[in-house]
Amino acid sequence: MDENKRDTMHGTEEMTEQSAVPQTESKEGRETKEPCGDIKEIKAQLDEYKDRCLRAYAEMDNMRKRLARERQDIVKYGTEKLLKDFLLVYDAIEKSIHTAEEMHPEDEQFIQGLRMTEKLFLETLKKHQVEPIEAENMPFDPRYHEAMMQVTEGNMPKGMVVKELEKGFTVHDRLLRPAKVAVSG
Amino acid sequence: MGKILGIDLGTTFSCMSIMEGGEPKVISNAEGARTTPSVVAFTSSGERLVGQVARRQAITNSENTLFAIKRLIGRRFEDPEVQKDKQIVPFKIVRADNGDAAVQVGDRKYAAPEISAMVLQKLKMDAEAYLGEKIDEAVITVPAYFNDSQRQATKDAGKIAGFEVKRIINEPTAAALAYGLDRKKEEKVAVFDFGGGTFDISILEIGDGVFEVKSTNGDTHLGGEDIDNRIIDYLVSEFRKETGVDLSKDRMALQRLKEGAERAKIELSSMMETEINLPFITADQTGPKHLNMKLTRAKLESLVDDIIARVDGPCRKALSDAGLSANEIDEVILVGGQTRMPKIQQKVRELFGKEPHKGVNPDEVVAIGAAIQAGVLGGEVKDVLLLDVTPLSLGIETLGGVFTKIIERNTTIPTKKTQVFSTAEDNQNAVTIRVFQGERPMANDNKLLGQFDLVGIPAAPRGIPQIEVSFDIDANGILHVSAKDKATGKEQSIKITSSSGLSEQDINRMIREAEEHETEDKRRQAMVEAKNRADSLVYTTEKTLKEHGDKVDAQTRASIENAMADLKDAIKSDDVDLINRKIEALTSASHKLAEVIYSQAASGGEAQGGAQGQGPGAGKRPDEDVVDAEFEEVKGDKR
Repeated sequence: MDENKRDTMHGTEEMTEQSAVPQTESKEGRETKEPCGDIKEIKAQLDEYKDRCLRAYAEMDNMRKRLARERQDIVKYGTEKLLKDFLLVYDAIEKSIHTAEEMHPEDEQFIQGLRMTEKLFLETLKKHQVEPIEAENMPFDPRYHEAMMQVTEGNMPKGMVVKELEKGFTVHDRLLRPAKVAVSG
Repeated sequence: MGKILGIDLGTTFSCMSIMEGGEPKVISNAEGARTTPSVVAFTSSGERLVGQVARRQAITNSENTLFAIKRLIGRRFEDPEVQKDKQIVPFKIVRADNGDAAVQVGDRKYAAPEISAMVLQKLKMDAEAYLGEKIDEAVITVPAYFNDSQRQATKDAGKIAGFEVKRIINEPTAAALAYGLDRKKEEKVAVFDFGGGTFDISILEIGDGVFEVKSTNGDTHLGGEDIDNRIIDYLVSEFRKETGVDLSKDRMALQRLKEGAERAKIELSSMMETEINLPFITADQTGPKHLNMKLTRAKLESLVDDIIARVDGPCRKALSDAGLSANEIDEVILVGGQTRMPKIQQKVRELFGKEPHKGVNPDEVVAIGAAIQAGVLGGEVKDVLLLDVTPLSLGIETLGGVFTKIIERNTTIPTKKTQVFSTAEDNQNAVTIRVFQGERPMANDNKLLGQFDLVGIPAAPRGIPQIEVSFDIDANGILHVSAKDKATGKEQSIKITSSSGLSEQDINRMIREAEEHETEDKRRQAMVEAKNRADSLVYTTEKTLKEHGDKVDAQTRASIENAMADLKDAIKSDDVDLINRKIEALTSASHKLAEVIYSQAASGGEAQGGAQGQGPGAGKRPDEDVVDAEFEEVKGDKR
């Protein structure tokens, strides 16, 4: 138990086994050594430095590749946070349409205006590769849908999206926000 | 020897990090998130889901969606903690054949390490996809209070996931590592970990690279979720007061409230007031209802005051168990996203009487520390320590006393940089290379490290000779500066050992001074630049006039000469604006001359050499390519 409470940065057997660094001899040790021993040591050191050097280059090269890919991703997905925040505005528009349709179906012109606003919003998003996720009447798929509730609907088979409660979106085929749905149980 | 992954295997979320170029870096999962929910689900079709995907389907499949497995790992089935959990969670906790706590999914029993392994496996796969190479080794963190069997079980989980677990380290140790506290001498550190669902306080003693946990305490059911719930309750009750509608009955409304509450909470960490706007939250016979409420930081703090007060007891207990008083603690570290809340930071200050460390993302600090430990084990961190950086910029003095940097500060050494300069005077046959170190724009405000002359430059008009100046710092910090005349191959050099450099105090002073003098320095620099530009414009114009003056009428010639005289006068003044105005006047006056030359050059083709030699200074904007330094920069860095 006490051992558990100690973390050391270096110096367990596990570690020394792994490290390829040869132990450098103490001064006295070296004096008594044959010259060929020195050369061996130097050669080993040379090999180690060469190895480290190659590793450093390889790592640099790999890092460059990763950074290039990451930069691409930043361009592609860098707007995710902004988009997510803006989708709240879309939700409000969508909800106002539903409410208007239910409460004031007679006000056709007004509802039409709201619908056009929604359409404009969606088309603008589409231009930037942000696409709505199909949910209603589709089989529930947790990769794109988030289950908010489970309902028992008479004739519906199990595991279907019965109702979309909030629209989900993808950006460049990556999930931006899952559709929040009710699933048949 | 590949890379070693550092993993913070959390109760609710896990996070992973790796050393990259000597710096720890958090790796995003395949979905692009920096943390992954520690949730595993088995679907009816036999599919296994891990992470956010598993979380999203939890409601439809609660019996087969496993979470908070960390509470079970390495515990016996009879353990009170397990029995308590058994009452709360929707999945089945059962007794394994060896008496450990296990979970039952369908007709299969899974040991807790098996489930944790599935989370680790996802992290492994995602990290491999990111790095483009296999990862076989890991450092995994555990709470300081984990006993041997919990640690062993965590190690087993790693093994099942295909890792060789190089080390299991304590979460508070990892946090201290992330803040580089191992580099200090002897210290007592309090690690205050206020996460989503649990609160841990640990007192560490650090010395000689050894981290000892003196005491731990905490509350396994205290966290950021309690704060969220308090906000939701408040919003629900306020809304009920206003409209009479109970939102807590409406699942979707509650979900929106939850998201709104979390947003508000986060915003109130940086703002004093926020608005929670949830239009069309519900509707009744009278029409749609909107939730629109202001929440101030003060209100939030009063709502959660008693929740935050619950950290007092464990903190005091931890201190007394460690046999320390609050003022004996040297450093306090914050872990967990909820510690971003100002009220919590204030609480920490109250309890420990000092400013907590900030700066490393508190959600990622443990994973980062694990990566650093991994880097030490893999030898990477040690290697990096060998690499040094230049603390201050290095460069030479150029025309007008300007300091031209060749190697910028914070450049990792060994490094070599080369720039080509030229002469400032016609027939100049020697240049003096004065090497300076510092951040001020004027050479004389910096420290002179050494100087030498390069002589024997063949006679040529100013700006023509190419003198290549190289700065080379080797791994020992020794600077070699050489200058070479490209025409003759003549070379001179100087070696400056690091001993002539500066102490850390000097370095800090110089950086501070550079900041303090920034405005004044900029003005002086602008002055020198303007004068240099004016000077070279006069030079080229004079030369052009001498060679081509007869090709324009007397009036044009007179106007150019007047403008030139004006500019010469202006150079004597210390008025940057005046100099710049006169530069412009001379430039536009000499336009006609340039036109004549160019048209003749184009038609006759004979004046070409001359026109080129004069450079564009005669007719174009004077600041473009014209000699503006004792050593004009002809080319950029040679790479």
